Amino acid sequence: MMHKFARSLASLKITIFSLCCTIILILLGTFEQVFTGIFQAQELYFRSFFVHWHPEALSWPVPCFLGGYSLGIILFVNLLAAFIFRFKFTKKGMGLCLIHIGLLLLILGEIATGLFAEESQMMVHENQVTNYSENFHLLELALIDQSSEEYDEVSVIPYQQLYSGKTIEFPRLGWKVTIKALVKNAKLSLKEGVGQRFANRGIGPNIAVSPQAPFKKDEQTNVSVAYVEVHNEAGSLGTWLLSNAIEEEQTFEYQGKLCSLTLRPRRSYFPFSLELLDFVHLRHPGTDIPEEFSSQVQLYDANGESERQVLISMNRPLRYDGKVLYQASFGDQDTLSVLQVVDNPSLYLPYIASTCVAVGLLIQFISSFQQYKRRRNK
Amino acid sequence: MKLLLCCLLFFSFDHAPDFLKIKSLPVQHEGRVKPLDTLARNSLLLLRGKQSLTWEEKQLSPIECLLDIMILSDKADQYPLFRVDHPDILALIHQNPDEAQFFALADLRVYFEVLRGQASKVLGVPAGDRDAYQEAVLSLWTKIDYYLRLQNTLFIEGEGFQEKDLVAIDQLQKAKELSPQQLEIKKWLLARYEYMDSAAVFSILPPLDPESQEWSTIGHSLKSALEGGELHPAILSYGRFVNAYRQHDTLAISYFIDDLHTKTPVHLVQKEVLFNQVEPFYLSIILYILAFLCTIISWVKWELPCRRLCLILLVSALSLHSFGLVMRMWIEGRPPVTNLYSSAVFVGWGAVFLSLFLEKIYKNGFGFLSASALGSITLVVAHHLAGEGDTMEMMRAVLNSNFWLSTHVVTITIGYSTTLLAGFIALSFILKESVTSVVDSRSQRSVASMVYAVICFSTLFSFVGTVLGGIWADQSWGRFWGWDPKENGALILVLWNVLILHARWGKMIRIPGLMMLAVGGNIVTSFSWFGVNMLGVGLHSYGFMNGAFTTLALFMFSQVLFILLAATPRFRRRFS
Repeated sequence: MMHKFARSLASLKITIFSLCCTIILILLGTFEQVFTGIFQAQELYFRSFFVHWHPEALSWPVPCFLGGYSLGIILFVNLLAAFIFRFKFTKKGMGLCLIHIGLLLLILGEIATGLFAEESQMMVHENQVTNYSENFHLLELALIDQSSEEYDEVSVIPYQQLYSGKTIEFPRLGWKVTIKALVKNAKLSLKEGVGQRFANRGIGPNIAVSPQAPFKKDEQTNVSVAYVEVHNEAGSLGTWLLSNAIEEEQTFEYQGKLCSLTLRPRRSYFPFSLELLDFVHLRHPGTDIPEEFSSQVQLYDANGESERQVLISMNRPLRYDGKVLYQASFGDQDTLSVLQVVDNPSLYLPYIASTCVAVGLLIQFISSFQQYKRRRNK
Repeated sequence: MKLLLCCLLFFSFDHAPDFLKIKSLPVQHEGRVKPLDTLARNSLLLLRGKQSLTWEEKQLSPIECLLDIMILSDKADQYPLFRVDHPDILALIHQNPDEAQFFALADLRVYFEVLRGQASKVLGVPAGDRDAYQEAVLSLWTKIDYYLRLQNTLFIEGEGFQEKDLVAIDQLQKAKELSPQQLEIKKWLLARYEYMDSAAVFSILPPLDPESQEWSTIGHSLKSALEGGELHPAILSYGRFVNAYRQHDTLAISYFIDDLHTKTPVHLVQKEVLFNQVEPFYLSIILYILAFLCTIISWVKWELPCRRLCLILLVSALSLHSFGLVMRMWIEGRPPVTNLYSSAVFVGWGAVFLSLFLEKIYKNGFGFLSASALGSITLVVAHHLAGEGDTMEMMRAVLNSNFWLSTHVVTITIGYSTTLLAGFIALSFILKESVTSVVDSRSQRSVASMVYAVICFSTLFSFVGTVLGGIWADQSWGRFWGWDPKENGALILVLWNVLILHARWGKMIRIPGLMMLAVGGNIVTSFSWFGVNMLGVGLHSYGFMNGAFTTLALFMFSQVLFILLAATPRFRRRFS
């Protein structure tokens, strides 16, 4: 009984069905990208088990189509079952075997990338040293204790984990932080005294906040707002308005300890640091079409010792400490270099998979050709 | 180089041999050194939409038009260069809104202020949100602006080249101290040259410094001469050539052109001049169409002689086609596929090449038919994709040639090519089977095996091409797969081909099903190749193009009709 069920998993009909579904999913996902941008569509369609529809009548989402992960798993199981029950591991079948093993690895690779890979951006200004990168899709609430002269102690809470009424305790510092209100996306404008109702410290009282619908396009980042109150048993120290759109440092002092509060893109700190020595932007003569971008950087290791100078340019990334840094963009009239930092443990899977498939295809092609020649010679 | 010159002379059909020499003058435009001929052809294409102009019963070549625009502005102002078809604009210029026409600059001069005002308003609207009228008025003003700038590239419009300027510069350079009067003259001259430099469309003077890649405009060079630099040796020759042209002094024109050939690096552009003269793709289209007619006739009567003629025509067409591709590669120094235009040319080449092989093996005429049809159609499509001007434009930094990019682009294009080939054979098969009454199951199985074999090829190439693209993406920005619309399109194509193969192996489809799915492949390919560019998302977005969208939609609809034709019981009954 189990054997029969397992055998049926290897059915070609399942393969055809899943291939059809995958084609439809990719098509729908691509059209979705026109409206909500690549990142959103990817999360909704490809990096999910089901594609959900959010009708206004119901409070929970309705799954209406298989998502990328589900189809990946179905194809994976189907292929594995086919391997066990149907493939012949003879010399003739070797080519086909390798091709499909390679495909299995490719599917695995993409699932692993979806789950484990992390991408962020490192903004390095000329003649400045940076040791962190930022993820502009995710925000964090950061409380920085600057009381010590030698170091800053940074405590971060991801924005996703915040909710109205949440209290975060800092027993060592002696106070608590409570979230009074959160706004996912808002328009901020400077107006004297308007924000007094909600914030009474820092820049908050002078900012008018008008909530708006969250942005859907990739290029637009939501302006998120959090009202936080700092208090302890003695009472409240005040309520601040924090936002990723506010660049000013907002600080408070209590019993000689200086602290700053901020809402900022999620940072990943590295054991190494980079100093941008020179950013070069070559254009084709007489035009604005870029010919080459490159950043000459000085790499410092974990102890702050200078390690070496590296040239990072288009198509020539820096590979260091398990991460890869690519020349992504630039700004500030060619004095700011933006590097894309990719941390993907399953980095090599697609290469192994492709080699597998390539070898398999070659074997298959050669054996087909030999078969064809034999038939012609008869 | 001598061989090139001989070829050039052989192909020079121009009445005045001097035009060939004028065409060979090198200029730098949009970062690339090209012959004046290319600039002339692209300018006319940009302004008129065609590479030719008929004026007073005479056919004017692009170079003649360009020279008239730049030098004989009074004459060129009468040429009907600007096409206006939007009814609102026609109304704006007090013309009949129902009649689209070509207008001369002289006709439009009165409306400059109005048009300029309208165009600058459009610039305030973001590119994706403009409606048809706004696009049309901006396009018209851009063309007028381009024309006016051409008129000011060699000298300030209407004046001709002023040799006394050079005398003045020489005097100012020699004077140790400048009198207030001389300072005034210097200021005035600087302003003139500044204007010329900013208006110039292209740079005509090669760099004096052998290390530099930057060519200069006449304005720029005169300006630097005024500020103490060296006077470029070619300026005087260009000036005298221009003045000779204004006076129609053929002897002087000849003399100064030869002089210019010694002062400018003509050898840099000779390959491209040859390429332009031969017009290989245009000739190929004609030969492909003739071959198509031959094949159709061969199925009705005179089979053997028609097939022989067809083979000769196709081999010649393919040779010209290949010559064109190789020349482009040689001139650009890049692999054969660099932009949408060259991808279309290469798709055609691949399809013809494979078709001829298929014909050799199967000998049923389908190979010839697909070679001739796909060859001509792709080249015509390519011609329409060249509308923006230079098809050998400089590449952006991220597209700088590297191994993975070159192999990816070439392989995936072959993938498109072979899928379209399978689709075309399938649809001609459907058509043929629908009109003939005789059922020949041997020939049916033969064509089916043809289609199957080609789809095997497509699967291989489209898959490998997609993977190579992933590797390139990983090397360039760290993401093997980004779910970009172009990547998705390619993936759908691979999956479609894989679907066909697996359905055939599982015996889920027979010959009619195979043909239907193969024609479906045409729809998938056109979506993947062109459709995704119009979505306005991602790296390959070229924005929504109205005309192209209609053509694409009609094409996809036509393919659906073929699929439905093969689904009818009457059709399916022909297969046991």
